[in-house]
Amino acid sequence: MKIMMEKHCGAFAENKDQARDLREKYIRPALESSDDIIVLDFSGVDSSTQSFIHALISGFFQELGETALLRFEFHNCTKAVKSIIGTVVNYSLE
Amino acid sequence: MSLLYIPNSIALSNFDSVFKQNDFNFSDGKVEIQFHPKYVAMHPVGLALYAAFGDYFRLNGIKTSATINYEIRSIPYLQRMGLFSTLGYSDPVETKKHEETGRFISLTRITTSDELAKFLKDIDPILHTTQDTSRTVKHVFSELLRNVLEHSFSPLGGHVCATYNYKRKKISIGISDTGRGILKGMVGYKRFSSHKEAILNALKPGVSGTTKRLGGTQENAGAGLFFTKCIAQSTRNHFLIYSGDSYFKLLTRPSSEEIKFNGNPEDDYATIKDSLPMFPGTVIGIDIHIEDTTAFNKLMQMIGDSYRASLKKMKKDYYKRIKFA
Repeated sequence: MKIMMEKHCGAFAENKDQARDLREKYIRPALESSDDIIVLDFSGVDSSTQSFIHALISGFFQELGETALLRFEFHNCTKAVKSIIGTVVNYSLE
Repeated sequence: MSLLYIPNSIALSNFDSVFKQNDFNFSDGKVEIQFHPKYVAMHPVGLALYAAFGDYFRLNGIKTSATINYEIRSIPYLQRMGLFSTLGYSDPVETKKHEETGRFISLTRITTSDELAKFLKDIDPILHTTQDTSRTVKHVFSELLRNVLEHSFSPLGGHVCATYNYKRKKISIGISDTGRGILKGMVGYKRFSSHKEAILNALKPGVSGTTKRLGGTQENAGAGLFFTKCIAQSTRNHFLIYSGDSYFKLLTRPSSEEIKFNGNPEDDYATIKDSLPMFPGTVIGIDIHIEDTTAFNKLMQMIGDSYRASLKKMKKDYYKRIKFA
């Protein structure tokens, strides 16, 4: 499954309500119903916040541990988005 | 009649001036708002503070009257920033309506997530910043205003305003609400006995008011205030948070000194005060230099590393968590 992030959250991804919606409406059902890889495509997203990325994915990395690294792919991230995802994934896996 | 005295200078460095002649006790239901007779210079933190008082008066049916010397030269500035209208008064002088471009964001009320999203979209054209230079600023606005929307329970939302000093490349921000304050907002984590203790814990990485669990929940990492404080630290600026009878104020450090992000705010070079006049809500002030900021991505990585290290240390420090009777 591929989610085009910009379509849901604009160029600055910060709205945690939207993160929660994406998480519960799309990501969780997809993770639970198949072994497919979840692709979060950040084309068009310039930046984000730690809170947004946390609300979007931290729960899965905490629940699944390192397995989550095999289930998620992050495409077309800017350096800013990459650094926030890296930060959230790192602390979620500890 | 109670008094709300507005002093001649309010900055983050001399924030204590707001307590001059004030006890913030308005229990008799009538307040005389008195401006300094000669000059009033005000950082956005001051504007946000008085905007919150305006809400407090409105919510509690407190009647106000105000005295101001019309000769004060900063009246047009205060007027454009929306101070008088926020306090429920018409503008004292006639000014040409300037476009809010390149210099300031006047007091803006944010009550919903959609209003916040719109506000964030408008920042670049207003401040004449670009996506590259405003990432840090937007991050700060978003984290702090989402805190207001999610945790303050303020019936009137929050206020935000900012000024941009183009020469110094510095953005000064003030944010406030008249919600339940940090002490009550932290009950999900722990019941603290003082505002000061609650504020200091709210600044620790991984402490969220929504859960007892260090590291927060999948909704809240307990990182927003810690990240914001670190952003101020990274640009060697002030950061102030005042709630109830206490405040924490991060002080500036010389550029020769190495930047260190401390998990425990008591290890910071900061002023921490309690037993101050009681503020009914939370107010935050922060300055950010946008051009000498370490690139946003590197900054986030550095703060993130510090967050992880501090959280690990706090989790491992079991001694503090053993219950001794």
